[in-house]
Amino acid sequence: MSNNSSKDSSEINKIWYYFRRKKLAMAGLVIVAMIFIMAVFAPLLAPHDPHSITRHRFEAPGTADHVLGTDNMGRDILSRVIWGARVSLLVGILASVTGTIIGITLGAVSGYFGGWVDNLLMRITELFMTIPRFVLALVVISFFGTGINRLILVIGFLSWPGMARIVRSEYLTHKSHPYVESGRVIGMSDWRLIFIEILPNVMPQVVVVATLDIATAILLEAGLGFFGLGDPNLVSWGGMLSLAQGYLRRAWWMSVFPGLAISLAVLSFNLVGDGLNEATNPRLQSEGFNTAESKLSGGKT
Amino acid sequence: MKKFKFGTIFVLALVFVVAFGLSPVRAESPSEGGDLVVALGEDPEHLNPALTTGYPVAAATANVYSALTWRSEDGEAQPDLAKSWDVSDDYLEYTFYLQEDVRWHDGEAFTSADVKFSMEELLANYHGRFQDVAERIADIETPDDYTVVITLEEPYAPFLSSMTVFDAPILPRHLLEDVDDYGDADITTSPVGTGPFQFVEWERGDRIVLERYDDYHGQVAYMDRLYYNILPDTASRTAALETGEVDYIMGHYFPRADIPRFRENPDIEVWQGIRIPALWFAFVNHEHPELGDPLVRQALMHATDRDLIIELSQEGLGNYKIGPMGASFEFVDFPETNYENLYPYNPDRARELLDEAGVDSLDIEIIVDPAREDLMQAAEIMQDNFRQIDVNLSIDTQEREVMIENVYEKRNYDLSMQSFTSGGDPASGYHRLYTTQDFGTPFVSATGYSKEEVDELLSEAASTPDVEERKAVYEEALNIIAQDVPILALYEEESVDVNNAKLRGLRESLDVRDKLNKIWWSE
Repeated sequence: MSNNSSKDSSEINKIWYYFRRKKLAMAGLVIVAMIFIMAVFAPLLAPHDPHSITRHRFEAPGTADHVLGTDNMGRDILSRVIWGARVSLLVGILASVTGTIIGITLGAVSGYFGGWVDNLLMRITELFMTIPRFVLALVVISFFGTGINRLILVIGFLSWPGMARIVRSEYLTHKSHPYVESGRVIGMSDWRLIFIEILPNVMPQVVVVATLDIATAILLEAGLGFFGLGDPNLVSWGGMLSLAQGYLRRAWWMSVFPGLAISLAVLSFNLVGDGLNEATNPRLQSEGFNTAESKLSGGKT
Repeated sequence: MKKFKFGTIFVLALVFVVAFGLSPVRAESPSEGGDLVVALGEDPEHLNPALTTGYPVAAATANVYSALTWRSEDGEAQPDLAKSWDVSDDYLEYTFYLQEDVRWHDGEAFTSADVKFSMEELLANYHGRFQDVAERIADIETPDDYTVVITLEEPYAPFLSSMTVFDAPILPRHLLEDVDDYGDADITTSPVGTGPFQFVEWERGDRIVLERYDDYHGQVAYMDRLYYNILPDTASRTAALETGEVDYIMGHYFPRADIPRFRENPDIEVWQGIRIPALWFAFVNHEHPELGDPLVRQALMHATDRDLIIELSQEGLGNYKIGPMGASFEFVDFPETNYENLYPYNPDRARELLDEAGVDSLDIEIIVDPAREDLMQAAEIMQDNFRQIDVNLSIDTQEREVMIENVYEKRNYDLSMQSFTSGGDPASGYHRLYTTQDFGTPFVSATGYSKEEVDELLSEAASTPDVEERKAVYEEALNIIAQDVPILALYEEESVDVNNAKLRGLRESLDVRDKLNKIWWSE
């Protein structure tokens, strides 16, 4: 355990090595990076105030002032797409983090202790998996009201079951590994074993699932926005789409650009997630595993 | 030979002149036959217009049932089941003389007993708008089969206009008197009336079919059949009109965004105007420390670009040059109470008024029902407008039921977007905006505004049938209200009505849903 940090960095190097070689995953990473830049620097990048309402409505894309055109209230669509990245990313990431924390806790406890605890928690997990998530989110949001904090919490609380199952299966295998056995022999507490000893070894799988969960959360947020349940005071891609459906024939650009933004965001997080999965899973690292391994370790094996 | 030819030409010319010059080329006359297909945006919950004021129920039944009167386009009461009436000098006693030989669609005779039964047993207990009238009715007498005498507790100006099929439909007593639960009666799903069309069938969620009633007591319908096709999806509803599958979409079910496209279509007629006025406004909670100050409310009026709201959220269909009770009723429209004269859009003036009131900046919320796109857009424009005067307005979307609870029952709100119909008379629809109201009643004033003087004047206006006298009372009341600005009145809506351009005889009634018997096909 003394060489933990160097082991971690070599592990990251290894994952990055495999990840880098996947063209689609890299493309996804580039798009994700662009969305991040858009979200962080929205006030600098957006040419107009996204809330500023004018009489210049339904202007077609391509003019110097409004590159992506204007909507039914004369607002600049480019600026709204840029600002929309903030809400999508914020909800996507924070909801995924919320779901991950819940999923790890339940999955770890379930997998580590087994027995009736495992049985009970997994039945609850299955129950949550069978309830259509989107419908439940619709009901909960319309009952408690809209707002970005509520969106994050609701989506987060609905996206843990997948994580819980993956983490549980990892803990099932890890708990009988020698390092856990020996930890138990020297008197480490269960909680220490679960969260300090085993958890770091499960992290690669957690990151993969969490990345994919971001994509799902973005889609869920857009869906809720489409049904008018987004935060009405913030610009969101789903909300823009919802507005656009009444003007499909009159202003196609109102739906195309936010739609494109949602697709790209979801696609890119999925690509990154898949790439991470392949890069961290030894079975999927398939070709050239040995050569890569020897290159990384400088041939010292 | 030459002469003969000349004569022939002369005769031919004469024939042409007679044939084309004297024939009525452009004068169309009503012709019988054909079917009319009307689109409804929702399936009615049932077909009993006495139990609800819901729009689709009245739309589907307004031509099956009739009432004592109907209202022509100018708002005047016209004879229907009542062929004439007398009003006593003190406006307390109305004597209706009924049409004789009217038969229900099942063949039974219609009598004054049906009128008394409908009003006392059904409408007074179940019909939202008739209940306001019923409170003022002292007595309903039926001296014979064809006379009804209604005595009022106090004069009520909109009384005659409340006797229409929308406010007081007459139902058959012989089919209802032995029924325990009116909701379960056969007639609630297969109506039997005295109107120009009789009920044929109702395929739930699909269509309602009516056919001409040949023994109708008025103008027998031109159309053979009337179909109400239920098309909940707006895009397929408007597409059905374009393809000719549907002939008529009433304004209530026509999406505003499609108006420009249909205006360009020569096969479609787009009618535009105000029929039954309705007011769009924002309630203000007077219990809020800053909003309770009239200066602040005046400032918010100055800060709101009402013209822009109409242009963007209603496709330009509306009038913002209105007073507290709109401008459509001539007797409530005065230059000195018109908000466009008093509080035109002027952010600088708004800021001055806020300073005068000692308000530096303000954080308030506006509650909007997210299903109402026009209200949402108006709220977004107000949000953008208010930023210019350092008022931060955040939008809180609440579903209708939650909104009703928070706004009307708990008064737990700052501002709330609403629209109210006038019901055809300010006393029916607009007084409730300014009179003192208790907590808990939905769809009346939720502001907490209470002024004894205003209450008394409005009550006097409601019981003054003479228009000139009534106008003077309104002028006094509205001068007080316009200074207090109890609500932020935005505009009066203009409606559209869209139909196949070959239809004639539409919109003779004030409400577009009844008197479809007057419609015919030109060709």
